[in-house]
Amino acid sequence: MLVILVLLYSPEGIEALCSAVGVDHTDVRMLMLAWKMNAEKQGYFTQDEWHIGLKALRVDTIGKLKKRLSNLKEEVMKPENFENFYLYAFRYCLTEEKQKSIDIESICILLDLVLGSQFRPQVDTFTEYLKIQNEYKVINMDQWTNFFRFCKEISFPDLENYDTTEAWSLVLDNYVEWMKEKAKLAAA
Amino acid sequence: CDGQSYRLQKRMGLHSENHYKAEGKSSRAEIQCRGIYADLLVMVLLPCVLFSLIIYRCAYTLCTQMPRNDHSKELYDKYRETIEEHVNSMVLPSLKGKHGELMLRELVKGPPGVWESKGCCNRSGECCCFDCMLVFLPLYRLIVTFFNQIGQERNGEQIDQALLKKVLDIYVEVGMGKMDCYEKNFETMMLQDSAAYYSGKASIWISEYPYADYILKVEECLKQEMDRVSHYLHSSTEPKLLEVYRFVLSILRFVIISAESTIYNMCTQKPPHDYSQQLYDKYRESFEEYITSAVLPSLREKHDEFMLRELVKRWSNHKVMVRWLSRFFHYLDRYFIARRSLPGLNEVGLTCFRDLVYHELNGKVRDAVISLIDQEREGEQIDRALLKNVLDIFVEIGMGQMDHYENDFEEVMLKDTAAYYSRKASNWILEDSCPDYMLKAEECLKREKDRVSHYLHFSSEPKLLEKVQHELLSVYATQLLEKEHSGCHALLRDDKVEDLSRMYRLFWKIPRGLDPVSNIFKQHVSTEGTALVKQAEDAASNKKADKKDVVGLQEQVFVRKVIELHDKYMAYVNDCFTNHTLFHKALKEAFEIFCNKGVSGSSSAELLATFCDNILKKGGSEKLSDEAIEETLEKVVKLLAYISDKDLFAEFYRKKLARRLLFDKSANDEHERSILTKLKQQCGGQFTSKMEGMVTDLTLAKENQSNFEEYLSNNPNINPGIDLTVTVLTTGFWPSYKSFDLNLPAEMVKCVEVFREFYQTKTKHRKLTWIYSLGTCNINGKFDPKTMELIVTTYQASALLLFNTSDTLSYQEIMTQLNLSDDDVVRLLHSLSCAKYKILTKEPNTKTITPTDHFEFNSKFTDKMKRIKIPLPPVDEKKKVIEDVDKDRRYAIDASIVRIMKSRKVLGYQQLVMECVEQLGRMFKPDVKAIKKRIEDLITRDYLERDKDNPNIFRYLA
Repeated sequence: MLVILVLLYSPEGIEALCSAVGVDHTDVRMLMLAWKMNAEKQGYFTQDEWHIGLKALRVDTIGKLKKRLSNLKEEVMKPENFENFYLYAFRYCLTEEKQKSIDIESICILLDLVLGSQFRPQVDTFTEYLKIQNEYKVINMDQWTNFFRFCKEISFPDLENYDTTEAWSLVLDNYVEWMKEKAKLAAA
Repeated sequence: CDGQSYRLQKRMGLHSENHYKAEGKSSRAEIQCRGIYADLLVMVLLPCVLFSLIIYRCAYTLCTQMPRNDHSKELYDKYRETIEEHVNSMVLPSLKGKHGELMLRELVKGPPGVWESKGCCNRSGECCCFDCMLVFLPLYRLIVTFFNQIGQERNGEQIDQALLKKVLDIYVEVGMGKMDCYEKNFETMMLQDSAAYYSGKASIWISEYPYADYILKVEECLKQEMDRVSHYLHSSTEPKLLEVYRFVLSILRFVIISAESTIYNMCTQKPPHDYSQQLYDKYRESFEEYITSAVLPSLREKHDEFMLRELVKRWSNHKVMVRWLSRFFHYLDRYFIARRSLPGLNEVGLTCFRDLVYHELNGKVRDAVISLIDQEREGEQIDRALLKNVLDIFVEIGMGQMDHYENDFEEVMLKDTAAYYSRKASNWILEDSCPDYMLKAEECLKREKDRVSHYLHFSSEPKLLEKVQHELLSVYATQLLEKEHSGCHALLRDDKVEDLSRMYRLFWKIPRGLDPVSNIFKQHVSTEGTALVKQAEDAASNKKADKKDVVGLQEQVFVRKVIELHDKYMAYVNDCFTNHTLFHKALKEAFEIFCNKGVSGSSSAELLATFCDNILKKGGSEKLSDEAIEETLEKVVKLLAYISDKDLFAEFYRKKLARRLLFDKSANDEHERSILTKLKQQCGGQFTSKMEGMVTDLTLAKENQSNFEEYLSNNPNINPGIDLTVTVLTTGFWPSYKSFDLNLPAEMVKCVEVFREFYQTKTKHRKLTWIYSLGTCNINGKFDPKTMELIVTTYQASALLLFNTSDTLSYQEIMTQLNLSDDDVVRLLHSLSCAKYKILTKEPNTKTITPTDHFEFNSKFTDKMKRIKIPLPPVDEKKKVIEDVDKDRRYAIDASIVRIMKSRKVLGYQQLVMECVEQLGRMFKPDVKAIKKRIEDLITRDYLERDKDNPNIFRYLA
């Protein structure tokens, strides 16, 4: 227990933790753990975060943590928690001081990680679009939340109830346009 | 013979008159002489001229003797005698032999008959002739004949009114200006006779007829007597005749009074004997009885127009009866009716007619009227006065209310009208062209209006016209306006101004009627405009194919054509469509459609700016008079109103203006200022403030330059030895240029330093930024054949000066030493080594510049001119201008959003976009996407945030 504690203050510590609980450090469960611990900085747990987090998780051994991690997913996926987790995921990736947006490449990975299980087709097409467009190089928090709302509210893949006159982010407008264009081409 | 004798007579008379005057007896002489003459004429028969001469002589001789022998008096007497004898012997016997009307005819018979024979004795002879006649005229026989005639007429027979008129004229004429004869011999007796006649009649009528009929008779007689006066009696007789008539009425009045007093008595008894109610009922019953027994049968047996005539007559009779009868029962009206609040007598009378006659017949009457109206519509002549009278019944029967007219007549009439025109229109629309149809429609509307003014009630006009308009225009509006070969499109195409005006007049009246017209107008204008765009587009692509590099000529033509188009259709809006706002709007929208299209990659904003430049610069492509320039500028500015990217225009305009000002290419300073004034008026002061600043700057710069020259002459020690002209401009007014990019040659650096020092003496707080790319230099080239002056840009000069120290330089060396970008170096080296003047020779000798090239001063270069200008083609500025504008727009949108949100704090997305577009619309039409992007950017920069619950609402973060 103590050994892990010392090591946890660095990325190496996290890696050690990962191997101890048998989870890849890019696994969404690690992100969920970070969320549960309310960790501020990517790749680090502070002592306080670790203590309070473990208490909240009600675990005191690696074995228990290992078990707890698997049902943590259920907790996160509860609608009342998920949005909070989704927003946390974005903030968790802001590593620099005053950084407000995340580059496209990281966003694609993050989306895949947090929304992939729920909204697979949306995430796939959106990340595809983000990669081929060149208007946007970064995504901000507003666009990030917009996409989640999009996934929840817009029927997919027909996009029937998408109203371009509403205040959807422009990147989503463009994405929808691209989707429709694609559908038209496919139909033709 | 007659004429001659008359002249003779005149001469003769004149003579004797002259003579007689001398003796103070004046005019009698004339009479006397003529007397003799007439006498002789009658006795000896006229036509002997010679004999007349003798007579004249005789008369003359007779009158000119000395008093003792003067026979003037005798002659005068003889004259009278002659006439009397003539009348007595010839006229009177012929009259006496005849009787009655024949006698009257004899009396008025023309020459050579009895009365007209007075003609030969002339005016003065008349009196004696009349005297004779006076014996005859009062004859009882004559008067009786008269009265017989009048009596006959009173009994309804036709008599010869003209004859009576002539005879009575004789009575008047014989009075020679006085009415004595007429009054004494005829009128008095006639009046007596009339009085006798009417009192006789009245006493019979009053006992024989019911009051009602009696009254009708009285009214009828009065009318006849008035007619009589106007036809043959003398006008002065009228009041007297009326006086007599009043006598007759007084009998009536007596009857009325007695009736009234009876009625009064009957009404004022104590209850069991109070007959008020019975009288009231009786009053009503008498009408009812009369109507059912007399009026209705006569109306029932007649039809159509005859029935209408009968009805009009019966109605006017009825009104007379009501008037009189209600006077008899006046007491009822005042007390009984008032107390019981029953309908008044007048009302009861009218109600009877309404309930019995009107209710039974109004349908029939209405149908008859409508069928007459339809006949008139088909071009037949109808009795309009009759219809007027009939329709007045409909109005009057309502007693102040229009219900009966509206419900019983108007409603059906309107339906019939609608049906009639619906039938007509369905044929016309198929058969006629649009202009013909409109002509017909206009004519129909005019006629219906006419109809109202002649016999319908005025309140029907709007309803009737509305129906007709609806059937003729509203129903077929689309079909009519879109007729293939003659509809609105065709009219516009063929410039049928008059038909278009008519179309406007017709459709103006129907609600929303102009909408389709204005739409077609808009379509037409935008099609024409788009055709112009296409034309220009084709011309531009042809030009590219031909590689004819006439800069901007096609665009010039295009803008000209657009101006012409605008002039043309503005005239339409003003003239045909009477300046109606709808058409102004249509014209505006149409122009906005194609004006914002742009031609072959150039936006219309750029085209307009180029067009202005061409007009304003020296040696532009158009040679125009000052007035024409002013006018053209005015129109260009008007066109600018249709262009949404005004900021883009401003930027292009500023670029061009800068070139004109800085390179001294502006043709006329006044025109420059004038267009700025026009722009200011249209787009506001903000729009032109920079441009105005530029123009002002240049004036200040000239002043500054002369100060600088003065400064140099005062300080000869610091003179750099090179003439230097500096134009100091204000940053911000002018387009942005690259500055401090070039490594100046040392000579020029010194110049710059000198100027800087000078400038610092003037102001300490201003920073000078040098823009070498706009500079020009005159340098001497010492070529082997001769020394030449080269006019080059500062860039070119700097490059050339490098060759003062080295013979050959590589591309890289030149670039490093000048500190310029590849683009600039390529451009300027190309102008010096590959263009018309090859000041530098290039190794290898090709047409393009590559980074591996080497350059050498071409000392062999020469030209027949001593001074040459080596042009450096300007960089294509279009891209930069557009980029600049885009950047400015981003700022403008940001500022606008912040402004709006600052005041609103919380606002829906759509509203925000709308207000933003509205705010910026005067300068440009912001793209919604651009606004969205700016909103997102402002969210990232924490100016705004999305509402937590409603993602379509934004909040302002202070």
